[in-house]
Amino acid sequence: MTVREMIESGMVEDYVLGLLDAQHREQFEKALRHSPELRAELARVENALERFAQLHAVEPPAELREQIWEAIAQSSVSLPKRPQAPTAPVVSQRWLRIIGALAVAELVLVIAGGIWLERLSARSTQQASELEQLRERYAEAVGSLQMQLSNVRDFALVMWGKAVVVPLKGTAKQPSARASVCWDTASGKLFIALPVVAPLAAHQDYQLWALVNGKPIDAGVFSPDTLRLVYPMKTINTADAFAVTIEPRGGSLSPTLSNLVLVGKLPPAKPSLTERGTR
Amino acid sequence: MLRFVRRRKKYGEPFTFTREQLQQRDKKFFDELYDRYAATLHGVLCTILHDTEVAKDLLQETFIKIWQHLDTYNPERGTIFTWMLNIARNTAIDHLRSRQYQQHQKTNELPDYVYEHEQWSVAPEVDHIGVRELLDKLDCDCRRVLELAYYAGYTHAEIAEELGIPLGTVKTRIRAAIAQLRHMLRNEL
Repeated sequence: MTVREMIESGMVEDYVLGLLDAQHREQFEKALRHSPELRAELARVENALERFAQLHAVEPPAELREQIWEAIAQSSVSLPKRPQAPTAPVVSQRWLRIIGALAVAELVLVIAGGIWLERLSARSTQQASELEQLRERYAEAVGSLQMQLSNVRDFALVMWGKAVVVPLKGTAKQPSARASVCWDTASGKLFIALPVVAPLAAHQDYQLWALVNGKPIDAGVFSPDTLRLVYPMKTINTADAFAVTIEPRGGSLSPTLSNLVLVGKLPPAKPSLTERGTR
Repeated sequence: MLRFVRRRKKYGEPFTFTREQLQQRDKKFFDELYDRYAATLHGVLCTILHDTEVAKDLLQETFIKIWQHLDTYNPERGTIFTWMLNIARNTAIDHLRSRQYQQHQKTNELPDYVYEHEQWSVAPEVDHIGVRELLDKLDCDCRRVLELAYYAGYTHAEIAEELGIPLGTVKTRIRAAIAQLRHMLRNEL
């Protein structure tokens, strides 16, 4: 039933007169909450009926007012005690209300929290292992990042000093491969920086070789990781060229030349290098 | 503007009260309620009961009930007057029923005093100048239907039976009566 229909069917009048049955009254009151139009109509009908009742007004005897107040005062003994002094208790009542509201809110939170915890513990067996896995992965990731940061810091320190940068270029096997060898000739600290190489199978590693007069010296292995910028390698004191081969995991004693992917020579005019190398 | 002021003076603004007042419920608040509604409620009781002594007692009973249950009044469901009128009416009807029960007057379960309201419609007060005319203008049949429903708490069916008219006519007359009232009130403004 629409609001319009309610108004036109006389439902408003019946409501005010108490003529609606429980079901229709409920329906009407529900509509009342949502319809300003219906509320306005109700107010008009009530106003008309109140005026109608006023037409029948009969002034009660003058003494009745105090008499009724006396009776109310007596009957209100059974009512909940109300504060006599108006100001101060009102404030305290307000505080009591606030405290009461807080207590209720707290209780709700405690109960909700309890339910949540219970649900959590119900799934805890499954979740605990998941959580443990997550924790391990997290620790791993953090450890890896810390290690990388410390590598980068070392690298930065090397570059801060007198480092030699040897660009490595791809061979026929990986023509687009690129990398840089950064070598502090003073301390022998060696890094592979920003390698752009093909990913490897799980049982393989890239191995760096330092070449001294064509003789390869193992300079360590690395596994390319897109997230890593710098790979610290073994300390090398003497070299005139560098090469990278693909080797079985962990590296080989001597390079597999058929798997040569990167090579780079030191700039020729570096006499100090040989000096240092002979030292 | 003038009309507005006049209207306020004549009919009064809607009665409103704060939660504080409701909680305190002091004498001042009682006086306000009493000043505003006692005569009207007393008139309703007189109309139903046809006995000023009983009406006086029941007005007291009505006000005590109002006072005790004031916090159950819900403004969303209507004006406080409608709410108070229901209390007065139910108090009166309960009284009549219990008395009739005591007197074993089961054949005449609901009061017939309602018809005789003419005697109890007291001349209007000073600020009700013109209302007598208003009342006289209200179609007599419509008025009776309205009184039976409004004051005596008759259902549609009871009114139909009482006045010997079809149920549909009862509903039509109730609407017509209120429509007339509204029309008169509008013209009066």
